[in-house]
Amino acid sequence: MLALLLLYIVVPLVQVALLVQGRSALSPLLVVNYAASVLALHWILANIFVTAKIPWFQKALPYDRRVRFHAMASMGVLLALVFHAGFKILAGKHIDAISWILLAAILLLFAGAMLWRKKTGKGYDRSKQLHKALLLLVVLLVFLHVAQAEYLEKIPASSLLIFLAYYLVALFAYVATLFGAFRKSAEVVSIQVRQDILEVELRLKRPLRCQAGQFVYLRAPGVRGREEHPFSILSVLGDSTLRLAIRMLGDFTRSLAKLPIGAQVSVHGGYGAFNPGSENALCFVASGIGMVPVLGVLQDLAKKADQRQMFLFLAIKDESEVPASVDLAALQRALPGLNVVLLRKADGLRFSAKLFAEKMGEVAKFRYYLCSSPGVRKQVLHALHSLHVPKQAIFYEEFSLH
Amino acid sequence: MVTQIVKTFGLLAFLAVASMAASNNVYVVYNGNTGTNSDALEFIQSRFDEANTGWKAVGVPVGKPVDFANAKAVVVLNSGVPRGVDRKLAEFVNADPAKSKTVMVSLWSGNADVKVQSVSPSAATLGLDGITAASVWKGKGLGAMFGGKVSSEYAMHQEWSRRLIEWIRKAK
Repeated sequence: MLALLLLYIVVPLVQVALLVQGRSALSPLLVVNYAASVLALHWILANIFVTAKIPWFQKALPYDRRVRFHAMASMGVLLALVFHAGFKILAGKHIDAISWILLAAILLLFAGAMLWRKKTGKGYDRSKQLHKALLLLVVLLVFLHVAQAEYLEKIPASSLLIFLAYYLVALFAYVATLFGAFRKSAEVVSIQVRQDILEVELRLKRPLRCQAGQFVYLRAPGVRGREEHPFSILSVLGDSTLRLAIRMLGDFTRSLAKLPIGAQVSVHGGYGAFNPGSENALCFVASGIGMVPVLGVLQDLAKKADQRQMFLFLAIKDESEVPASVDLAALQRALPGLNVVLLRKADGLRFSAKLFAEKMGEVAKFRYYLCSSPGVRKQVLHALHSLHVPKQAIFYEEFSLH
Repeated sequence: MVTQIVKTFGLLAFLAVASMAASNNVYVVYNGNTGTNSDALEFIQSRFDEANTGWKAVGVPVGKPVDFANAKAVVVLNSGVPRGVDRKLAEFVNADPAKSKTVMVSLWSGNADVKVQSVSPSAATLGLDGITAASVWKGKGLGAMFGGKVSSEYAMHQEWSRRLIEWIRKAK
């Protein structure tokens, strides 16, 4: 949070102050215009850096929060730009060609991002690629625009250094992720399919800093070009072996199932902060493929012979939905404090306050970890809130903007 | 006795330094916090710096007192009008006790003509030397960033500010 505060508020406001200091004949509207332009400029660059998939920053800035913050910050950019452009146009100022093209590119970027949210499958991936391409154009045009506006000549040397730092870091983040600086090569060691769940074991050529509960982005040459998708880690064996469990829903995931043993893929990560700390008692709630990070975390806790009281509420169609390599009974033996409650579709059980209260008794002493679809999560949160479980006791990662 | 001498020399030295510093101030009198006035003030200072004059452009909103005694020069920045002199600035000029070190720079609004003119004292300039140009601003232009010529509008601003610097150098 401190990093975001510095990047988005403190430093840009200092930049505004450095721009307007010593200037005369400034009306309040003029100052707001300068502020809008400087803030928009720095926020665009900060956004690129914050949303770049750089595993180094996972601990300081968990990825899911970064992505959602990016959406909010982008709205801020849009508002600032609308003000800045509107002010200039209404004041009758000359707007050069670069500025018009930049404005059009940014509006396209936003329009694309809004449409992107609603897409799935190939449309989603194409929108993502278009967003990245437009972003590069915007970054280049931004530099030309500020140079033409003589912004770089009007500010003191310290301010120039700050701007250049933002620019270079954003450019580095963009280029590094574009060229896969953080990707690690891996070899497919085994493929297992049960029902629609695919388990892939990968041997990494170099260690990847990750743990169960997190996710990685996987790209497989020959599988839908340069697309990469996030998948949860089921288990990490030593430094070099990773097991992913994937629900085969679309072309990409179904094509993964056809990868031969020995196929070369690349991964980067681990992202996500889905990992319990030293809480006294834990309650995991998962549904469908959301069970993967939860089972991964439980397997990890089992290796450490964790003795804490734990609950696992798992909503599944039936036991065949559980990844083949996971033995729930063995997990319960390894974790003596673990109680497993299966909500099978056929049983008609649903997440409810009554269910939690009946099974757990003292609901207040647990820390809750949720991993499910937004709809199920809503149900669980409603149930927990009605049991007066405080918000701080519930953890989940939210990637959707809905 | 010694103390008196030291004090006197100290005062003289202070006055000398103070007057040197003060005489580098070029007061720019303007009416209104507008983008044109703000940009013009900044531009004037940047041109002073480019020409290594050591002068400081001090913006003074019309109505505030101007330290004529310690001014290197006084510039009346006549903007926001398509012709003539802004009314409030005209009042200032008419009360101006130091016309010999005052010059009027008129940046006509709504005018795309990039011609710069130097004007002798007349009724139109309220008895001041004048420099006229347009207020239109288009920046240096993309070409100039890659070694090409600056835009004609920017060249106009360079020219009127060059003439201003020349005038100030000659002013007593």
